[in-house]
Amino acid sequence: MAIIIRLDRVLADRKMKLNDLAKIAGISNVNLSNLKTGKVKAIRFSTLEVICKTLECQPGDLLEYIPEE
Amino acid sequence: MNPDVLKQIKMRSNKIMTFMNLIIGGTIVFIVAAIGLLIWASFVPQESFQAEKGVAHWLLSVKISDHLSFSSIVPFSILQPLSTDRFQAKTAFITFLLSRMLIFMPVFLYGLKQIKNILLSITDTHTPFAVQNATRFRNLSYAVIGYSLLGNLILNLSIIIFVTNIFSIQLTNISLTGLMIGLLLMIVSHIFRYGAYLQEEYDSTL
Repeated sequence: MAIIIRLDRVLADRKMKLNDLAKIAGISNVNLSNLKTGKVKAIRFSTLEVICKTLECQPGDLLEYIPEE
Repeated sequence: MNPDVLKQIKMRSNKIMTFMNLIIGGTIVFIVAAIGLLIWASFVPQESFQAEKGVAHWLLSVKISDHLSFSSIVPFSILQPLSTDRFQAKTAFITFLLSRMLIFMPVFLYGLKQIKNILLSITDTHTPFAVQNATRFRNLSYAVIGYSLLGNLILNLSIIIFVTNIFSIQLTNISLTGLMIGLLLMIVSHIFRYGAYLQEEYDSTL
């Protein structure tokens, strides 16, 4: 997929673990793990808002577009 | 989906599953009883069998005891309205019951199995919209369409071959209602296939 999730990068910058994000944001570990590994096809704005609020970041920090060759 | 609604659907599916298991059990008992009756009937003399002509059907009966008899209604579309001396009531009785059982029961049990598997998928997973269920509905539609087209025709043919030896095929033996139900099930199969696609899209949305 052309959209890459940079969640692991943002988590590393914030020195936060995935489990902690799951607990604070109220999203399951499984779902966040799927998001991190790129298994998710779509993300709701409400979910993106919760993650951005928890990590104090912008959506652009989490999502990167790499054109497919 | 609302977890309470999901719980209600699962509870109802469990109740329907219990009912289905009762029907399957009853069907198996019926098959065993029918086989027993046919084996017994094959040893009963011809004189114990009777064929009565009705308005649109035959009533084939066998005397079990002084106060008990077993009878079967055979429409004229299966067994023509001939005179009773043109065929043997015993042969007609056994041929009709045996053919009916061999044609109808496998289709019925297969249909029950498909419905049971669909219900199981609802009780086991969080959604009925899976590709396997779409395939089950499609197979169910094939079974219904096949039986509607061929079921009574094969019965008609077996009566011709084993009882009357008079070639008379009735096209009214094709069940139009059954064909419509089969087509409806085919449409439901396509709906479930699309539902499975939407379910996958939903499940992969965070």
